[in-house]
Amino acid sequence: MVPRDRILELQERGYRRLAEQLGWEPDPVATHRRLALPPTPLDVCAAEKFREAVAGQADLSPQQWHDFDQTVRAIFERYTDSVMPTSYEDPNTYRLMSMMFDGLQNALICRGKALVPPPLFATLPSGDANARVVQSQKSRVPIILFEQGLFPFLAGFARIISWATPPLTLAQTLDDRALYKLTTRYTMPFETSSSLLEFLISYVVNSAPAALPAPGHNRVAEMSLLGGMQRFIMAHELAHIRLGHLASPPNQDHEFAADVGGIEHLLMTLSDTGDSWAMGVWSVNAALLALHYLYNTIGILEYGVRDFEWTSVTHPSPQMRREYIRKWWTREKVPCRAIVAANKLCSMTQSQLKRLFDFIIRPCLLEAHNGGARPSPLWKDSLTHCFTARS
Amino acid sequence: MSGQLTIELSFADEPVAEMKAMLEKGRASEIEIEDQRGVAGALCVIICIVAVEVLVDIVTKLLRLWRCGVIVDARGPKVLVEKNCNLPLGTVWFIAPNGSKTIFDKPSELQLDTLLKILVSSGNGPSAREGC
Repeated sequence: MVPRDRILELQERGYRRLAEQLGWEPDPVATHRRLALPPTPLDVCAAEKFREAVAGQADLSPQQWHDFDQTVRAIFERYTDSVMPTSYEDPNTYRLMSMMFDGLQNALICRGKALVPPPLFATLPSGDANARVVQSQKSRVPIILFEQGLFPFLAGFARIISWATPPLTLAQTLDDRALYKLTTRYTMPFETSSSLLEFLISYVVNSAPAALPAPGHNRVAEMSLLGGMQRFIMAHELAHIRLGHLASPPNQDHEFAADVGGIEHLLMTLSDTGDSWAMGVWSVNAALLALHYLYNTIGILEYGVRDFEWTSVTHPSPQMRREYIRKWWTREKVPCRAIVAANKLCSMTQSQLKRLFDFIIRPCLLEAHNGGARPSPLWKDSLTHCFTARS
Repeated sequence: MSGQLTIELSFADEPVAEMKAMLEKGRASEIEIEDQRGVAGALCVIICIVAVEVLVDIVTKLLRLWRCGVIVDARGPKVLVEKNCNLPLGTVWFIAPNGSKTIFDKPSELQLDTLLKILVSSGNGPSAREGC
């Protein structure tokens, strides 16, 4: 089957299912039309967002800012007229995916390892925090599908983590030596716990994560973290293709290998652009932490006080994946300071979120479960494939 | 009933070779296997063309092999036959081309046969290839 036709078919099916869940007529075209967002002028948004984020940190003259705007515009212009694979595609997300992919593919091209044929990519309309790679054994053209729910989920989590992190300047996020000197003792604002709780409950119960306030003190960290998290997810899917996993039955070793392949690929692109190694590691750790807390929330809301365990035969738990990847990056041949900086950032985030989850979020989730809150039908498959309640 | 249908079998945690062999036994043609890897799960999809009468046999066999429920969704260009462990064992949830849903608990072959007649006779569903 022609890959683009396959994308169209999967998107049609996705919109039909979404319409049913929303109680609308199961008409994929009408549902898409009703939900589609107009294309955003991404160049203006990106430049403005960056200006806001670095306000007071970047000492640039008006001419330098003008040049900066021009550069951003030139980068985005290449994607303005991107040809969407189907009429169901979301133009905003598609452009971001194209940019992400080009960055990752460029790093491979420089090393003579370009992905050939390049994958097609597209979005599916469910709220699930998922991405998948699809490959027909006949056509051999891989398709990477991002569920639209993945993007707000990662964005929300990047925001939560940025709230729980001491302010990072632009210079710090680009320099491992500066991050090495970072003081990690930080008292997060009290509202972070209620934001995280609201975010997780709204996402798991209503399939739509609540909007969170932007961390005014840490916009640079938020942007950098989110970019890394998104690129890691794409790099993980690309690793499945590069490592030839799709030709054999899925297993946990494939996932560990795709995580290592994904982080290696991400760090390769960061090194090409002179960005911080530690920030890359931190963002991968953050992506897996986000999945860890998402699945914990699903499990607690489903099973309440009953103990449950991760039993997927094909995928290790996000916790195991994080531990595996940690063993990898702590043995990397990079300057010791970079490893210490990554360790500082990851440990700080892990301990902050763990305390928050164990002492505040978990009791509240149990209370919500006792009050009748349950995961939305969106998570049924995850519950079936990933969890088993211990009797 | 005569004619052929394009079907799409979608399942997780099942041996692909066994499913493929079952389809080959049912004289399925143009068998295409598609692998799907997600963030927290993997799926296998087999797309093929089968004779309409064989689909009844396939669904009956799948109910036994998969030890879960099965969704037969006939609304798209292909008939989607999906393993669904959220449905009780032996349940078939049939969605006709016009969107109407019928749930069967351990349906007989006769019941499935009737459903497929509806599927083939319906004008806005997947096209049955007469005489292919």
